[in-house]
Amino acid sequence: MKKIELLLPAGNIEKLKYAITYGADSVYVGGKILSLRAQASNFSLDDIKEACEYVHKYNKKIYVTVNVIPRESEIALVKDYLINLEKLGVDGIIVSSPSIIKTAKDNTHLHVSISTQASTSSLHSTLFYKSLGADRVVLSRELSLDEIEYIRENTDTELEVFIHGGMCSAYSGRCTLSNYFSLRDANSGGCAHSCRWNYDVYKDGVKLNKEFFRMGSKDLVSISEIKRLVNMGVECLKIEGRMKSISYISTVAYTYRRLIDDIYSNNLRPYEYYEYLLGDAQNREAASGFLNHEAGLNETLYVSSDSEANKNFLGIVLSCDKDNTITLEVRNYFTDNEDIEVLSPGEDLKISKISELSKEGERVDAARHALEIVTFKSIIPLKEGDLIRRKK
Amino acid sequence: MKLFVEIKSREELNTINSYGYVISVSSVSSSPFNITLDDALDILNNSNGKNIYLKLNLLYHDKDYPIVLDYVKKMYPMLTGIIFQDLGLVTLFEQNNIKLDLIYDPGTFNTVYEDTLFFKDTSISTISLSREISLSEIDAFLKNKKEMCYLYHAYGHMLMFYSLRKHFTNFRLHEESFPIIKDDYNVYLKEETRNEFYPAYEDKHGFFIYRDEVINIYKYIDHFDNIDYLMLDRPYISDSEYKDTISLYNGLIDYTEYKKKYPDQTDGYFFKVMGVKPR
Repeated sequence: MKKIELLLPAGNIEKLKYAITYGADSVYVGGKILSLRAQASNFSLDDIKEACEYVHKYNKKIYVTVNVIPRESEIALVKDYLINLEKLGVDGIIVSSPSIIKTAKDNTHLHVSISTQASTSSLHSTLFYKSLGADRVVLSRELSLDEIEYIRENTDTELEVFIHGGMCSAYSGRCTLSNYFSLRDANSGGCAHSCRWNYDVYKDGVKLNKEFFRMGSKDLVSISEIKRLVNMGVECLKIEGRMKSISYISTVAYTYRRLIDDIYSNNLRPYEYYEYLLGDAQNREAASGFLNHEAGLNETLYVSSDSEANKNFLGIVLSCDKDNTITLEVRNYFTDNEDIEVLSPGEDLKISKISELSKEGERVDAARHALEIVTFKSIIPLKEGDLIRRKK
Repeated sequence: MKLFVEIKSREELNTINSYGYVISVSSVSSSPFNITLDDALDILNNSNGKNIYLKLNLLYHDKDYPIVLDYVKKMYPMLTGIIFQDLGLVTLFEQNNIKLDLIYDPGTFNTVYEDTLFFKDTSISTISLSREISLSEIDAFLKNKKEMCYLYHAYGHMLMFYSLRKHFTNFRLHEESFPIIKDDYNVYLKEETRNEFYPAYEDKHGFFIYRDEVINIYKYIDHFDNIDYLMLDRPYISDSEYKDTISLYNGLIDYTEYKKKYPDQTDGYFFKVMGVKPR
């Protein structure tokens, strides 16, 4: 049986490398044009070339999101852009616009995935896109596991399922709150997340709510659903979040990589273990969306939408000497003698401790500033690229 | 160009002058004025050759298709066509050898002429142009060689949010004193910083929010010479205003007089520049 593909987002080349290092089988990136997530840093053609070379060196794949609903000013760019992507070595594209699907099929051999923006929510819709040349369908996030399984059992079209990250409150691609309120086109990547704003509800001039009425969705997390998705044979599990940080990308990739590998090796541990691995990477409230039942109270975000920054990600290991002296690029404040956890690609979570914390050769009691370089002694050897986080 | 109007009864079929008459039917459509299957069959059985279209304006899941198919089969062959946004229906009808005039109306998609090239080899006869594009973009779309028929929503409150989530029901679970609101079409949302009231309802199919403003493109009707169909949307429009608007589009009312009666209508996105960054 072909192993399921773990697909991670990458907002820039550095995040892409972390995604691959921490366990992604493939990555998706946005180009400078024709991609949603307009505020992600996004890749130039040179960046995409570098990214292709990097992922292919590790026998991984790269998809480029070409998932805008294009406007008149953009449509002339599509054909040349797609041809260029193919020349650069891109494996596939993620698309929602009919015109872009058509252009890709007519002019390239790129693997075409139908974006979740198309809200493909049934076997029949999947078959429609297949009949017009789609290689893969990214299923609507409104589907349950039972519905996904039904589709899986009745088509050989590749299926991709979102398993983690931000969720739209509306059917994707069917919301123009942002367009109306902010003149920011959601289907061009400008979503202002107006579903998370505060509303009052009125009938006959009377306000019916006490607290603000909200419609935002909690993020999606699906640790306990992965085994079933693996067993039913979907081709790809997708993580949302091209605008997320290195620590988020790495931690989420690391966690789901461990989980998937453990499923395939029949060494599945209690789900609490993987939830612990995720740690604070999930800094907004999360639930399993529609996977187990229709999204209800528990899947709706009624608290403020502002997410707290994760301050438990302490830094990235730059090097480790023979005596376990670690050189670290700091990301958040920590003190000498703190207990730490180490995420190391391909290995179980490790425990260590900060000691003899120093900066520029002088002992210090704390690392105070992001991006400063410090050294400390670890009780175990670490590796370049390991992530250090505060132990709970 | 030909007109599509939404009707609620057989009486309206007989009294309103239009090319196409659109019905929304409980269980398979979502609308503030759904009619029953029996009423739909009554309209169809008395259509006297008029063009009746069924609005299937939902994204269906596999569990929904049997009832959609059952309803359509009961209306077939009196039914002229379907106005829909779920492309799975194309597969469903092909599998069941149901041949109807199919109008693909996804609301936010179909922004450029090139989209028609994707659909022209399917059984879809007509696509609707996105309601989000500017007048100049519409001009550019329509100046090309016609590969298919086109429809444009000329009038009405524009739907701006469609969710499967039952947001009123969920909120009532969060806030006990919040009332039960279901199939209630007199409820409005107000965003905290705006003095605008957006019609919103929840039904068995999900949660829907419309814009507060009424769009009417009649002033720019000359730009639509090359379009096949204009749709006049009815949700949250009074019966009298809707009938006046049909008369306007049928050339029975002078636009200046109509405008005096309904001065607050807008032209939607015709002259707005949409972006992606905060302003």
